[in-house]
Amino acid sequence: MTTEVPQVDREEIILRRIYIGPGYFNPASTPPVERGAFLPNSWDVDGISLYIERLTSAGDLVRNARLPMSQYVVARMKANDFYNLGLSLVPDQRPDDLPGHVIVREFTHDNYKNRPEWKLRIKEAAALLAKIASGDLLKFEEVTPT
Amino acid sequence: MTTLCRGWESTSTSASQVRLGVETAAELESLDSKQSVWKKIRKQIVSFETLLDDWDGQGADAIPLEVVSGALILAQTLEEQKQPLPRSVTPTPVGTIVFTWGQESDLYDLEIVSAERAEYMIMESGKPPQHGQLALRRPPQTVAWH
Repeated sequence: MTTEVPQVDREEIILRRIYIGPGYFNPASTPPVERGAFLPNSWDVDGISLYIERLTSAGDLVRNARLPMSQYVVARMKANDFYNLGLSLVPDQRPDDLPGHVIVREFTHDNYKNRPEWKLRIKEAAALLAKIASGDLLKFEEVTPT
Repeated sequence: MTTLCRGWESTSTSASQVRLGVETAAELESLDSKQSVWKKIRKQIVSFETLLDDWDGQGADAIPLEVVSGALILAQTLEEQKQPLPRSVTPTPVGTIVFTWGQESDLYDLEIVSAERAEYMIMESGKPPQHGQLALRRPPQTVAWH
């Protein structure tokens, strides 16, 4: 999808926060991560969000989510996993973002909804990313003060 | 036609293997027939009507009524044609519903995008992905390739 020089080093660990729920993640399934975890929703105008682990921890990622942290898992992947699928990782730091915010520019809601050729590519890539993401997952529990 | 796509007929899925959303296999093992599983699938599909915008806390699109209608038509048709039970039936963050068969190496899915149309994707190990569309018609109660 892109032939540009990568803006994120190939060896960087990239984090994706994944909602624990139908279509996203199910521990009883093989693989447990499903392609919904990588599909762009209506907020993903510029692409889906990921984070560079070196700059933001997985714990920070779930602590800053809108639902309780126990509602999410975090997948650890390499930047190269995205490049191998022809995807781009573009730094996209905005004032309210956690550090290390990057986007997969091809995975926009508009591409999925309105551009059939892109939709097929996104579906395929999301299914492959779901398999890769299933290989290294972090789960978090709420800590109740005693 | 009665065969939805290559590979589906050879997919052997028992009631205990079917997974709906976050329900557990144990729950489903208590079901004693395909008929009751299909009934549960339809009930689950209807429940997707209650998923409003941002149901995942990450900006997911609501599931439109017409998509729910399309999914119910497909479920009814698959049951009538005695097709294998899907591994999962789940909402997606882009406001569609996906029926999934297969496991890690081979993936077959049908994405309901409206009351009249579904899109399929077949990803088999070592083969290029296949995509196409299905018309959901009622009556007559058939599923046909475009």
